[in-house]
Amino acid sequence: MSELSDDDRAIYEWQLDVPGFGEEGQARLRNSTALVSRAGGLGGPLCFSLAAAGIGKLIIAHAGDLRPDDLNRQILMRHDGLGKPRVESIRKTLQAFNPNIEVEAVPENISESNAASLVDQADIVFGAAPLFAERFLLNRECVRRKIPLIDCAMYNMEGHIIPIVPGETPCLACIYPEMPPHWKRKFPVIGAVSALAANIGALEGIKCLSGLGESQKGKMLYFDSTTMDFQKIVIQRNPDCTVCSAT
Amino acid sequence: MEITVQYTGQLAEITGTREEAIELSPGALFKELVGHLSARHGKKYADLILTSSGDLRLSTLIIVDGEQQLGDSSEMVLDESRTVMLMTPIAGG
Repeated sequence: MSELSDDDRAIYEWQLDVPGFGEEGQARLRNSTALVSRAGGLGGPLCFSLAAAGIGKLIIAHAGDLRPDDLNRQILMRHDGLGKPRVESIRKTLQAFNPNIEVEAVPENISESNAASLVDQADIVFGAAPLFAERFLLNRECVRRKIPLIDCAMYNMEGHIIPIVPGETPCLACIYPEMPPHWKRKFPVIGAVSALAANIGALEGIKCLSGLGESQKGKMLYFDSTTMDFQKIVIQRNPDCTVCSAT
Repeated sequence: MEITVQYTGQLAEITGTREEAIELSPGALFKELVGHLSARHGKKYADLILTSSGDLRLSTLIIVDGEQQLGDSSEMVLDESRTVMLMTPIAGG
């Protein structure tokens, strides 16, 4: 594991003082690679927080060109990027913010053809895609490779975060054993709600990688921002799960 | 007896509420609660949580007092003062 440089110490000085984190936690982050599935309203702030914390490498999978209706929440994007590939804005913004991390922006969404090879490169995976097909693929590949997955989701004023450790906790298919038939691609969203879910997810990821604090694995962290109610829901492993029961 | 039912996501939109108190006979089963709620909130609600044959969808999460219930919960006996949360899957990013 490579040690911290003087530049690292200068940039991360304030978080090195966080009890339980310190130089060791920072070095663990520095030597870690995170895969983020989509950097939109949720994945964008999530990537920002991982970049700010000093993750070593971010691999971000996100297809398509930037549209005006992305701009209420996709904070890695820039107005002058409209009509251009989203990955261009993603890479530029993150590298301008923290040039000391490596950013690999893949102009594709997670699919059968790339899921295994992308997950293979990661120490941790964050699911932030708006389609269950992509989330289920990530889940399957993370379970196969025993790589932690932080699944983050939101709808309207609500969100939930599920830290998954294959072999220890329920996986996404334990919780949702079938493709939800009523989920629609377009959903109501205020950017701050996405960012709230994103930052809880980012923190669970940072804790998982650095050893800081107490992981919330095995729980669904649910919030309703209309009332600011937060709940920890105990989720169960499904002994008949088609994805993880053999692990 | 009174059961507190909480809704999230699309269920909260359809019902127009996030929580309501439901009066049931003592010892009522979970399937009776579902039947009561489907009648109360109409077809859109029922379509979201039930299959065409009337079974609970596998993707409907049932959470009782903060714990997810696995498997077929239709025969689960509900006790007084329980809080039942019904959650339909979300994947917004």
